[in-house]
Amino acid sequence: MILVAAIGVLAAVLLIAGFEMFMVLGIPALAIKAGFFASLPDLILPQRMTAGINQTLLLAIPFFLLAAQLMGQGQIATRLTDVVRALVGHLRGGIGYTTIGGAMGFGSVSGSAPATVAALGKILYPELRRVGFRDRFALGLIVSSAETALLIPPSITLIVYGWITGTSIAALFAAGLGVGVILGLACAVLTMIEARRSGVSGDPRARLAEIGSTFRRAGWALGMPVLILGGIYSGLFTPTEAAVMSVVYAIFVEMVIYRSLDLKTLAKVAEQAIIQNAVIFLLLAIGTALSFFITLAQIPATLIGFLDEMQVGPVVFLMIVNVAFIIAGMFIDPNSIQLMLVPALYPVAMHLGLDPVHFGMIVAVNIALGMVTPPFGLDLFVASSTLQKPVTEIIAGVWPFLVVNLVVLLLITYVPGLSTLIPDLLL
Amino acid sequence: MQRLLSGVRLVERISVVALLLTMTVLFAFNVLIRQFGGPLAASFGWIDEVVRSLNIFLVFLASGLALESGKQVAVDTWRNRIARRSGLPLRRILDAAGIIFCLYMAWISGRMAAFVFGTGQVSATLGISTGWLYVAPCAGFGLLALRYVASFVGAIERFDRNGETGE
Repeated sequence: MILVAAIGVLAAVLLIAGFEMFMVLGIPALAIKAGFFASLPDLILPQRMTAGINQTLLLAIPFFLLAAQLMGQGQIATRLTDVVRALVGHLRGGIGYTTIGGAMGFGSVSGSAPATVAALGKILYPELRRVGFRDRFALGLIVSSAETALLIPPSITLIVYGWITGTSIAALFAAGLGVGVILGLACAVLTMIEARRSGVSGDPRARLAEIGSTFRRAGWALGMPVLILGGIYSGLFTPTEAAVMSVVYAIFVEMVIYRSLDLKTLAKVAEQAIIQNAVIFLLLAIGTALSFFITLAQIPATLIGFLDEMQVGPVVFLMIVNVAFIIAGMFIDPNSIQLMLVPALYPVAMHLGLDPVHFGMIVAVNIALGMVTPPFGLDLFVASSTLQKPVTEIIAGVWPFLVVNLVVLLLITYVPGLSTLIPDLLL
Repeated sequence: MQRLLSGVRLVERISVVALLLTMTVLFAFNVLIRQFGGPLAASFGWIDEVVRSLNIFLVFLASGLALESGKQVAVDTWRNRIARRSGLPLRRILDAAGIIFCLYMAWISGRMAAFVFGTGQVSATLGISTGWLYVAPCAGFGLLALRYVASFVGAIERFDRNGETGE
């Protein structure tokens, strides 16, 4: 136990000192191996790392990242947003709902919250300000509504969770859809209150012909969610196959139909996706080795024994889980959080009889919350760079949404049916 | 050093973009042939393994580029404050630790590759040695170590790309 604590302290020191996360995971992995399993050959490390990422399921990540970059740089994101605006823009504060719907729509094709902030922020922020939303609220809304992209399928967060725990990706995606909609509705309630308070107006109601024309203009863009979600749930594609088909479709639509990308831009966009992919996979590779040693050292079993001894039930355990994830989310990136906490906590959750999909939703909502939680939520910095606004202003705008997020987190945590209803219906 | 880095960077960028586009074409072809190719699909069972292997090379060959461009994730908020208060040359310590860690990982990956090549173990669908898989982390950690060395000797500035101030 003392050795485990010492390794935990080592990881914390490395983290605080500013070591790259792959070393924050890798050096403790080496320390556990040296401390507990010195007789094992060192060669087990590259073996576990390579085997861990040599999975067809994980190929969905580079493909979805590339598709997201293509759509963000091209026209698909804008045209999906136009459709939402044509439908709800006339309501009081309609552009606020457009932001939420646009984030959910782009989330349904990109799976990445930072990509959603970057793609939609520039388009919608000036519009939110124009119709009268306060600056801080507009910033908070853009950052917070992008969280839905982490939940609405395809979600890279859910793919990583499914990979760590062996949970069905289709079931996680179905649950993520429901939970993402709940989070979107919660943001919409806050937007409605703010719109009334600030006297925000709506766009003139679009005529039926205008709505029809917007739908026609966005026809190819609307094909993307149909291809991904329809493909997966009709049984036509696995999530990885849907991911690669989304790349082919995005290249075709952006380069041939919309003519918004050329070959040079394609190479540039591919390079951006490749670098994101390398960062994620290096963590996954080293995280695999770490979780192998965590399991071998029976750390989850020790944790279960300790919680049993303390007579901790599911309610208290989930509260501990939420607090641990919220604190970690303030400082650490989403994939590292999962790699550090899920291998230790998931076996305990299963021991307590929790549903793996429900636990996945709790993890995902916590991670979404971490993306916008000060001081270091990643989306805060993406929005700051995209919108050229100081992080402090964005943080000030995010607070009301954090309260809403916490309410949603508590609902998802203690009402399992909210997570399991759609998977039960669809699968 | 700069010429070496420029050359390495150019090769990495061309290789990784070519790898990702090849992966896309192959995997998409595999999906289409499975949907529409009937019995022909069975002849292309090797594509899945090739694409997985290419992804491993993609990840490791791009890791150095990611570090150099300041994209490798790190919690860098307290770094400068700790360096100022403690008087430690923290950036140099981080670079030195990076060099040692990455060289060690490259070394054991190289040993693993040599070991598997020696066993004669071959992939079921491709018929080539599975030792090639471990060449990827060996090369990748080598490229990461090169960037840490370049940062250590001041040939690249990887910290300020994160918007940090000097130590």
